Amino acid sequence: MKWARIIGLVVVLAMGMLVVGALAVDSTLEAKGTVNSKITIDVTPTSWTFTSDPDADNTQAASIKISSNKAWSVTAKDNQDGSKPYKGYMVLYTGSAYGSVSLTNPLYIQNSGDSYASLVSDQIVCTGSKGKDITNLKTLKQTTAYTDDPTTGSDYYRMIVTFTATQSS
Amino acid sequence: MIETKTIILSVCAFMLLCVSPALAGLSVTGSICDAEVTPGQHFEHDMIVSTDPEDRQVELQVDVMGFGRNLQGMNFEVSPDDDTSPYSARPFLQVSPRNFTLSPGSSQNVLLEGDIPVDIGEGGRYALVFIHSNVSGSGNVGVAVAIEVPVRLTIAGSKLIKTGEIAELRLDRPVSPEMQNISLIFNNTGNYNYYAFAEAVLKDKDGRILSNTTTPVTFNSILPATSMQFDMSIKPSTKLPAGSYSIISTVRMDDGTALASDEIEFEI
Repeated sequence: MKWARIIGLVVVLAMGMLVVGALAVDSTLEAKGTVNSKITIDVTPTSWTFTSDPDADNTQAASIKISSNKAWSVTAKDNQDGSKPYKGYMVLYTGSAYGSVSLTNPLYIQNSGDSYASLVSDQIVCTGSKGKDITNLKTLKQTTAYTDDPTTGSDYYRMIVTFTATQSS
Repeated sequence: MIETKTIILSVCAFMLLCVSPALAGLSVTGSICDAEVTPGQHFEHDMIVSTDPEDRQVELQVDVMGFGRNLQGMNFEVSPDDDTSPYSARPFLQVSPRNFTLSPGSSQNVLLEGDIPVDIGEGGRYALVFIHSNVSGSGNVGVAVAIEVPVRLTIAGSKLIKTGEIAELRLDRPVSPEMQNISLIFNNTGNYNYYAFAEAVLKDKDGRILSNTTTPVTFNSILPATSMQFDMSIKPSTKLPAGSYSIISTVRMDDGTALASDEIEFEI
Protein backbone atom coordinates (compact mmCIF):
# COMPACT_ATOMS: atom_id res chain seq x y z
CA MET A 1 0.00 0.00 0.00
CA LYS A 2 2.77 2.30 0.96
CA TRP A 3 4.58 1.56 -2.28
CA ALA A 4 1.39 2.14 -4.24
CA ARG A 5 1.08 5.57 -2.69
CA ILE A 6 4.68 6.39 -3.47
CA ILE A 7 4.34 5.24 -7.08
CA GLY A 8 1.11 7.17 -7.40
CA LEU A 9 2.78 10.29 -6.01
CA VAL A 10 5.68 9.89 -8.43
CA VAL A 11 3.27 9.53 -11.36
CA VAL A 12 1.35 12.62 -10.29
CA LEU A 13 4.57 14.55 -9.88
CA ALA A 14 5.80 13.42 -13.28
CA MET A 15 2.54 14.42 -14.92
CA GLY A 16 2.73 17.74 -13.18
CA MET A 17 6.23 18.35 -14.48
CA LEU A 18 5.07 17.50 -17.97
CA VAL A 19 2.26 20.05 -17.69
CA VAL A 20 4.59 22.66 -16.28
CA GLY A 21 7.09 21.79 -19.02
CA ALA A 22 4.42 22.24 -21.67
CA LEU A 23 3.40 25.57 -20.20
CA ALA A 24 7.03 26.68 -20.11
CA VAL A 25 7.65 26.16 -23.89
CA ASP A 26 8.19 29.49 -25.58
CA SER A 27 5.71 30.56 -28.24
CA THR A 28 5.91 33.70 -30.27
CA LEU A 29 3.46 35.95 -31.99
CA GLU A 30 4.83 38.06 -34.83
CA ALA A 31 3.13 41.43 -35.20
CA LYS A 32 3.39 42.85 -38.73
CA GLY A 33 1.85 46.03 -40.02
CA THR A 34 2.18 48.53 -42.84
CA VAL A 35 1.45 52.24 -42.74
CA ASN A 36 0.07 54.05 -45.76
CA SER A 37 1.42 57.36 -46.94
CA LYS A 38 -1.17 60.08 -46.43
CA ILE A 39 -1.43 63.82 -46.85
CA THR A 40 -4.29 66.23 -46.13
CA ILE A 41 -4.61 69.89 -47.06
CA ASP A 42 -7.20 72.36 -45.84
CA VAL A 43 -7.30 76.01 -46.87
CA THR A 44 -9.44 78.81 -45.48
CA PRO A 45 -11.01 81.06 -46.53
CA THR A 46 -12.26 79.61 -49.80
CA SER A 47 -12.68 83.04 -51.37
CA TRP A 48 -11.67 86.66 -50.86
CA THR A 49 -13.71 89.67 -51.91
CA PHE A 50 -12.47 93.24 -51.64
CA THR A 51 -13.58 96.70 -52.71
CA SER A 52 -10.65 98.99 -53.23
CA ASP A 53 -9.70 102.52 -54.11
CA PRO A 54 -6.83 102.84 -56.58
CA ASP A 55 -3.32 102.97 -55.15
CA ALA A 56 -4.13 100.77 -52.16
CA ASP A 57 -2.83 97.55 -50.63
CA ASN A 58 -5.52 94.90 -50.11
CA THR A 59 -4.55 91.90 -47.98
CA GLN A 60 -6.10 88.66 -46.87
CA ALA A 61 -4.60 86.02 -44.57
CA ALA A 62 -5.00 82.44 -45.72
CA SER A 63 -4.70 79.52 -43.33
CA ILE A 64 -3.10 76.40 -44.82
CA LYS A 65 -3.36 73.31 -42.63
CA ILE A 66 -1.40 70.14 -43.43
CA SER A 67 -1.33 66.65 -41.99
CA SER A 68 1.31 64.41 -43.52
CA ASN A 69 3.39 61.41 -42.49
CA LYS A 70 6.31 62.53 -44.64
CA ALA A 71 8.03 65.88 -45.18
CA TRP A 72 5.75 68.01 -47.31
CA SER A 73 5.50 71.21 -49.34
CA VAL A 74 2.67 73.43 -50.59
CA THR A 75 2.87 75.52 -53.74
CA ALA A 76 0.50 78.25 -54.86
CA LYS A 77 -0.19 79.11 -58.45
CA ASP A 78 -2.60 80.99 -60.69
CA ASN A 79 -5.11 78.33 -61.75
CA GLN A 80 -5.69 80.12 -65.09
CA ASP A 81 -9.16 78.58 -65.25
CA GLY A 82 -11.23 79.21 -68.35
CA SER A 83 -8.15 80.15 -70.39
CA LYS A 84 -7.52 83.15 -68.16
CA PRO A 85 -4.77 85.29 -69.68
CA TYR A 86 -1.92 87.13 -67.92
CA LYS A 87 -0.66 84.56 -65.44
CA GLY A 88 -0.31 86.04 -61.98
CA TYR A 89 -2.63 89.01 -62.62
CA MET A 90 -6.27 89.43 -61.65
CA VAL A 91 -8.27 89.83 -64.87
CA LEU A 92 -11.62 91.48 -65.48
CA TYR A 93 -14.40 88.88 -65.34
CA THR A 94 -17.97 89.27 -66.57
CA GLY A 95 -19.35 86.50 -64.40
CA SER A 96 -18.97 83.88 -67.10
CA ALA A 97 -15.75 84.69 -68.94
CA TYR A 98 -12.47 86.55 -68.61
CA GLY A 99 -11.82 89.64 -70.70
CA SER A 100 -8.50 91.05 -71.79
CA VAL A 101 -8.01 93.69 -69.10
CA SER A 102 -5.91 92.99 -66.01
CA LEU A 103 -4.85 94.91 -62.94
CA THR A 104 -1.53 96.70 -63.27
CA ASN A 105 0.14 94.79 -60.44
CA PRO A 106 0.23 91.01 -60.01
CA LEU A 107 -1.25 89.22 -57.01
CA TYR A 108 1.37 88.49 -54.37
CA ILE A 109 1.55 85.77 -51.73
CA GLN A 110 3.99 85.20 -48.88
CA ASN A 111 6.40 82.46 -49.85
CA SER A 112 8.15 79.94 -47.61
CA GLY A 113 10.53 82.69 -46.45
CA ASP A 114 7.55 84.96 -45.70
CA SER A 115 8.62 87.41 -48.42
CA TYR A 116 5.97 88.53 -50.87
CA ALA A 117 6.36 86.82 -54.24
CA SER A 118 4.16 87.34 -57.28
CA LEU A 119 2.02 84.58 -58.73
CA VAL A 120 3.45 85.28 -62.17
CA SER A 121 5.56 82.27 -61.14
CA ASP A 122 4.41 79.31 -59.06
CA GLN A 123 5.54 79.79 -55.46
CA ILE A 124 6.47 77.42 -52.65
CA VAL A 125 4.49 78.90 -49.77
CA CYS A 126 5.32 76.49 -46.97
CA THR A 127 7.21 73.30 -46.23
CA GLY A 128 7.45 71.14 -43.15
CA SER A 129 8.28 67.87 -41.47
CA LYS A 130 5.75 65.11 -40.89
CA GLY A 131 3.03 65.85 -38.37
CA LYS A 132 -0.67 66.45 -37.85
CA ASP A 133 -2.69 69.68 -38.22
CA ILE A 134 0.32 71.89 -38.99
CA THR A 135 -1.04 75.36 -39.69
CA ASN A 136 0.67 78.07 -41.70
CA LEU A 137 -0.68 81.58 -42.21
CA LYS A 138 0.20 83.22 -45.51
CA THR A 139 -1.02 86.62 -46.64
CA LEU A 140 -2.23 87.43 -50.12
CA LYS A 141 -1.69 91.00 -51.29
CA GLN A 142 -3.18 92.88 -54.21
CA THR A 143 -1.98 96.43 -54.81
CA THR A 144 -4.24 98.57 -56.97
CA ALA A 145 -3.11 101.52 -59.07
CA TYR A 146 -4.48 104.57 -60.82
CA THR A 147 -3.70 102.75 -64.08
CA ASP A 148 -6.34 100.12 -63.23
CA ASP A 149 -9.64 100.40 -65.10
CA PRO A 150 -12.52 100.80 -62.65
CA THR A 151 -15.11 98.01 -62.71
CA THR A 152 -18.62 98.65 -63.94
CA GLY A 153 -21.90 96.86 -63.35
CA SER A 154 -21.39 93.36 -62.00
CA ASP A 155 -17.92 92.87 -63.54
CA TYR A 156 -15.01 92.23 -61.19
CA TYR A 157 -11.34 91.35 -61.33
CA ARG A 158 -10.78 87.67 -60.61
CA MET A 159 -8.20 84.95 -60.10
CA ILE A 160 -8.36 81.41 -58.74
CA VAL A 161 -5.35 80.36 -56.67
CA THR A 162 -4.61 76.63 -56.50
CA PHE A 163 -2.79 75.35 -53.42
CA THR A 164 -1.06 72.03 -54.19
CA ALA A 165 0.33 69.77 -51.49
CA THR A 166 2.82 66.99 -52.04
CA GLN A 167 5.16 64.81 -50.01
CA SER A 168 8.91 64.81 -50.37
CA SER A 169 10.09 62.41 -53.06
CA MET B 1 -47.99 83.67 -30.95
CA ILE B 2 -45.21 82.30 -33.13
CA GLU B 3 -46.12 78.99 -34.64
CA THR B 4 -44.06 75.95 -33.61
CA LYS B 5 -43.37 75.17 -37.27
CA THR B 6 -41.80 78.60 -37.79
CA ILE B 7 -39.59 78.17 -34.74
CA ILE B 8 -38.42 74.72 -35.89
CA LEU B 9 -37.60 75.99 -39.41
CA SER B 10 -35.68 78.95 -37.99
CA VAL B 11 -33.65 76.73 -35.69
CA CYS B 12 -32.89 74.34 -38.54
CA ALA B 13 -31.76 77.20 -40.79
CA PHE B 14 -29.54 78.55 -38.01
CA MET B 15 -28.02 75.11 -37.38
CA LEU B 16 -27.39 74.69 -41.10
CA LEU B 17 -25.52 77.99 -41.17
CA CYS B 18 -23.45 76.92 -38.16
CA VAL B 19 -22.42 73.57 -39.62
CA SER B 20 -22.05 74.57 -43.30
CA PRO B 21 -18.66 73.37 -44.58
CA ALA B 22 -16.26 76.29 -44.91
CA LEU B 23 -12.94 74.59 -45.84
CA ALA B 24 -11.40 73.83 -49.20
CA GLY B 25 -9.96 70.47 -48.17
CA LEU B 26 -8.65 67.27 -49.69
CA SER B 27 -6.91 64.15 -48.46
CA VAL B 28 -5.11 61.30 -50.25
CA THR B 29 -4.08 57.97 -48.74
CA GLY B 30 -1.46 56.26 -50.87
CA SER B 31 0.00 59.70 -51.51
CA ILE B 32 3.37 58.34 -52.66
CA CYS B 33 3.83 55.54 -55.17
CA ASP B 34 7.27 53.96 -54.78
CA ALA B 35 7.53 50.52 -56.35
CA GLU B 36 9.90 48.05 -57.95
CA VAL B 37 8.56 46.75 -61.26
CA THR B 38 9.63 44.23 -63.88
CA PRO B 39 9.32 44.42 -67.67
CA GLY B 40 5.92 43.10 -68.80
CA GLN B 41 4.39 43.37 -65.33
CA HIS B 42 0.88 44.72 -64.78
CA PHE B 43 1.33 47.36 -62.10
CA GLU B 44 -1.31 48.77 -59.74
CA HIS B 45 -1.33 51.39 -56.99
CA ASP B 46 -4.42 52.14 -54.90
CA MET B 47 -5.27 55.59 -53.61
CA ILE B 48 -8.14 56.81 -51.48
CA VAL B 49 -9.23 60.41 -52.08
CA SER B 50 -11.39 61.87 -49.32
CA THR B 51 -12.80 64.98 -47.69
CA ASP B 52 -13.53 65.81 -44.08
CA PRO B 53 -17.07 66.49 -42.84
CA GLU B 54 -16.24 70.19 -42.57
CA ASP B 55 -14.99 70.43 -46.18
CA ARG B 56 -17.09 71.62 -49.09
CA GLN B 57 -18.49 69.31 -51.72
CA VAL B 58 -15.89 69.18 -54.44
CA GLU B 59 -15.67 68.01 -58.04
CA LEU B 60 -12.33 66.38 -58.72
CA GLN B 61 -10.29 65.47 -61.74
CA VAL B 62 -7.36 63.04 -61.71
CA ASP B 63 -4.66 63.22 -64.38
CA VAL B 64 -1.42 61.29 -64.94
CA MET B 65 1.14 63.90 -65.91
CA GLY B 66 4.82 64.01 -66.71
CA PHE B 67 7.00 64.62 -63.66
CA GLY B 68 8.71 68.00 -63.90
CA ARG B 69 11.11 69.56 -61.38
CA ASN B 70 12.42 73.09 -61.69
CA LEU B 71 15.82 74.39 -60.61
CA GLN B 72 14.47 75.00 -57.10
CA GLY B 73 13.38 71.37 -56.82
CA MET B 74 9.69 72.25 -57.08
CA ASN B 75 7.37 69.80 -58.82
CA PHE B 76 5.35 70.84 -61.84
CA GLU B 77 3.00 68.86 -64.02
CA VAL B 78 4.20 68.28 -67.56
CA SER B 79 1.45 67.97 -70.15
CA PRO B 80 1.50 64.91 -72.42
CA ASP B 81 2.49 67.09 -75.39
CA ASP B 82 5.54 68.41 -73.55
CA ASP B 83 6.49 65.19 -71.76
CA THR B 84 9.51 64.04 -73.76
CA SER B 85 11.64 62.67 -70.91
CA PRO B 86 13.05 59.20 -71.64
CA TYR B 87 12.41 58.43 -67.95
CA SER B 88 8.70 59.20 -67.98
CA ALA B 89 6.24 56.55 -66.77
CA ARG B 90 3.25 58.62 -67.94
CA PRO B 91 2.83 56.95 -71.35
CA PHE B 92 1.98 53.57 -69.84
CA LEU B 93 -0.03 54.62 -66.78
CA GLN B 94 -3.70 55.49 -66.43
CA VAL B 95 -6.10 56.24 -63.56
CA SER B 96 -9.72 55.42 -62.94
CA PRO B 97 -12.04 57.02 -62.27
CA ARG B 98 -10.78 60.31 -63.70
CA ASN B 99 -13.70 62.48 -62.61
CA PHE B 100 -15.91 62.27 -59.54
CA THR B 101 -17.64 64.37 -56.92
CA LEU B 102 -17.00 64.08 -53.20
CA SER B 103 -19.55 65.28 -50.68
CA PRO B 104 -18.27 66.33 -47.23
CA GLY B 105 -16.88 63.39 -45.27
CA SER B 106 -16.84 60.95 -48.19
CA SER B 107 -14.15 59.05 -50.07
CA GLN B 108 -13.41 57.55 -53.47
CA ASN B 109 -10.99 54.76 -54.38
CA VAL B 110 -8.79 55.65 -57.33
CA LEU B 111 -6.67 53.06 -59.12
CA LEU B 112 -3.42 53.89 -60.88
CA GLU B 113 -2.39 51.05 -63.18
CA GLY B 114 -0.40 50.20 -66.26
CA ASP B 115 1.55 47.56 -68.14
CA ILE B 116 5.31 47.98 -67.88
CA PRO B 117 6.74 47.76 -71.42
CA VAL B 118 8.87 44.67 -71.98
CA ASP B 119 11.62 46.90 -73.44
CA ILE B 120 11.40 49.48 -70.62
CA GLY B 121 15.16 49.64 -70.19
CA GLU B 122 17.01 50.39 -66.98
CA GLY B 123 16.89 52.77 -64.06
CA GLY B 124 13.83 54.68 -62.83
CA ARG B 125 10.57 55.84 -64.38
CA TYR B 126 8.55 58.74 -63.05
CA ALA B 127 5.15 60.40 -63.25
CA LEU B 128 2.86 62.69 -61.24
CA VAL B 129 -0.74 61.87 -60.44
CA PHE B 130 -2.43 65.26 -60.18
CA ILE B 131 -5.65 65.25 -58.16
CA HIS B 132 -7.26 68.69 -58.39
CA SER B 133 -10.54 70.32 -57.47
CA ASN B 134 -12.77 72.67 -59.35
CA VAL B 135 -12.70 76.30 -58.39
CA SER B 136 -14.68 77.39 -55.37
CA GLY B 137 -15.79 80.72 -54.05
CA SER B 138 -17.36 83.58 -55.96
CA GLY B 139 -15.14 86.39 -54.70
CA ASN B 140 -12.36 88.28 -56.43
CA VAL B 141 -9.92 85.54 -55.43
CA GLY B 142 -11.17 81.95 -55.27
CA VAL B 143 -9.35 78.91 -53.89
CA ALA B 144 -8.83 75.46 -55.35
CA VAL B 145 -6.85 72.67 -53.69
CA ALA B 146 -4.84 69.87 -55.25
CA ILE B 147 -2.57 67.01 -54.25
CA GLU B 148 0.28 65.59 -56.31
CA VAL B 149 1.11 61.92 -55.89
CA PRO B 150 4.71 61.32 -57.01
CA VAL B 151 5.20 58.02 -58.86
CA ARG B 152 8.70 56.51 -58.75
CA LEU B 153 9.20 53.12 -60.35
CA THR B 154 12.47 51.22 -60.12
CA ILE B 155 13.13 48.68 -62.86
CA ALA B 156 14.05 45.59 -60.84
CA GLY B 157 17.46 44.09 -61.48
CA SER B 158 18.51 46.94 -63.75
CA LYS B 159 21.63 49.04 -63.46
CA LEU B 160 20.89 52.16 -61.45
CA ILE B 161 23.25 54.89 -62.63
CA LYS B 162 23.72 57.77 -60.20
CA THR B 163 25.95 60.32 -61.86
CA GLY B 164 25.96 64.06 -62.32
CA GLU B 165 27.86 67.09 -63.54
CA ILE B 166 28.18 70.74 -62.55
CA ALA B 167 26.95 72.58 -65.64
CA GLU B 168 27.60 76.06 -64.30
CA LEU B 169 29.44 77.54 -61.31
CA ARG B 170 28.96 81.25 -60.77
CA LEU B 171 30.36 83.75 -58.27
CA ASP B 172 28.49 87.01 -57.64
CA ARG B 173 30.66 89.87 -58.83
CA PRO B 174 32.08 92.24 -57.73
CA VAL B 175 33.31 89.82 -55.09
CA SER B 176 33.02 91.01 -51.52
CA PRO B 177 35.99 90.36 -49.20
CA GLU B 178 33.49 89.72 -46.38
CA MET B 179 31.15 87.22 -48.02
CA GLN B 180 31.23 85.34 -51.29
CA ASN B 181 27.94 84.22 -52.88
CA ILE B 182 28.06 81.36 -55.32
CA SER B 183 25.48 79.37 -57.19
CA LEU B 184 25.83 76.25 -59.25
CA ILE B 185 23.61 74.35 -61.64
CA PHE B 186 23.87 70.60 -61.27
CA ASN B 187 22.60 68.07 -63.83
CA ASN B 188 21.59 64.50 -63.00
CA THR B 189 23.20 62.62 -65.91
CA GLY B 190 22.27 59.16 -64.65
CA ASN B 191 19.12 57.09 -65.01
CA TYR B 192 17.93 57.22 -61.41
CA ASN B 193 16.92 59.80 -58.80
CA TYR B 194 18.93 60.64 -55.69
CA TYR B 195 19.06 63.23 -52.91
CA ALA B 196 22.11 65.50 -52.85
CA PHE B 197 23.77 68.45 -51.19
CA ALA B 198 26.48 70.89 -52.20
CA GLU B 199 29.52 72.16 -50.37
CA ALA B 200 31.97 74.97 -51.08
CA VAL B 201 35.49 75.42 -49.73
CA LEU B 202 37.34 78.73 -49.86
CA LYS B 203 41.14 78.51 -50.24
CA ASP B 204 43.93 81.02 -50.51
CA LYS B 205 46.62 80.91 -53.19
CA ASP B 206 48.64 78.46 -51.10
CA GLY B 207 45.73 76.04 -50.82
CA ARG B 208 44.98 76.81 -47.18
CA ILE B 209 41.30 76.35 -46.28
CA LEU B 210 39.87 79.64 -45.03
CA SER B 211 36.18 78.77 -44.74
CA ASN B 212 33.54 76.38 -46.01
CA THR B 213 29.79 75.94 -46.19
CA THR B 214 27.32 73.16 -46.92
CA THR B 215 23.72 73.21 -48.10
CA PRO B 216 21.04 71.01 -46.54
CA VAL B 217 20.18 67.83 -48.42
CA THR B 218 17.66 68.59 -51.17
CA PHE B 219 14.02 68.44 -50.05
CA ASN B 220 13.18 66.41 -53.15
CA SER B 221 15.44 64.00 -54.96
CA ILE B 222 16.98 65.11 -58.26
CA LEU B 223 15.30 63.21 -61.09
CA PRO B 224 17.32 61.92 -64.05
CA ALA B 225 17.58 64.41 -66.93
CA THR B 226 16.73 67.31 -64.59
CA SER B 227 18.80 70.05 -63.00
CA MET B 228 19.04 71.58 -59.55
CA GLN B 229 20.41 74.97 -58.47
CA PHE B 230 22.40 75.23 -55.26
CA ASP B 231 23.03 78.68 -53.73
CA MET B 232 25.71 79.13 -51.07
CA SER B 233 27.34 81.96 -49.14
CA ILE B 234 30.82 81.69 -47.68
CA LYS B 235 31.66 84.02 -44.80
CA PRO B 236 35.35 83.96 -43.86
CA SER B 237 36.08 84.64 -40.19
CA THR B 238 38.06 87.73 -41.21
CA LYS B 239 37.76 90.05 -44.18
CA LEU B 240 39.86 88.70 -47.07
CA PRO B 241 42.97 90.77 -47.72
CA ALA B 242 44.02 91.56 -51.28
CA GLY B 243 45.17 88.45 -53.09
CA SER B 244 44.16 85.42 -55.15
CA TYR B 245 41.61 82.90 -53.94
CA SER B 246 39.63 79.93 -55.17
CA ILE B 247 36.36 78.23 -54.28
CA ILE B 248 36.03 74.50 -54.87
CA SER B 249 32.45 73.35 -55.01
CA THR B 250 31.37 69.71 -54.78
CA VAL B 251 27.96 68.08 -55.12
CA ARG B 252 27.50 64.86 -53.14
CA MET B 253 24.75 62.31 -52.74
CA ASP B 254 23.10 62.28 -49.34
CA ASP B 255 25.38 59.40 -48.33
CA GLY B 256 28.44 61.60 -48.99
CA THR B 257 29.47 60.07 -52.33
CA ALA B 258 30.99 62.78 -54.50
CA LEU B 259 29.23 63.31 -57.81
CA ALA B 260 31.00 66.32 -59.33
CA SER B 261 33.41 69.12 -58.46
CA ASP B 262 34.35 72.44 -60.00
CA GLU B 263 36.56 75.37 -59.09
CA ILE B 264 36.35 79.10 -59.59
CA GLU B 265 39.11 81.65 -58.93
CA PHE B 266 38.86 85.29 -57.99
CA GLU B 267 40.92 88.25 -56.89
CA ILE B 268 40.35 90.67 -54.05
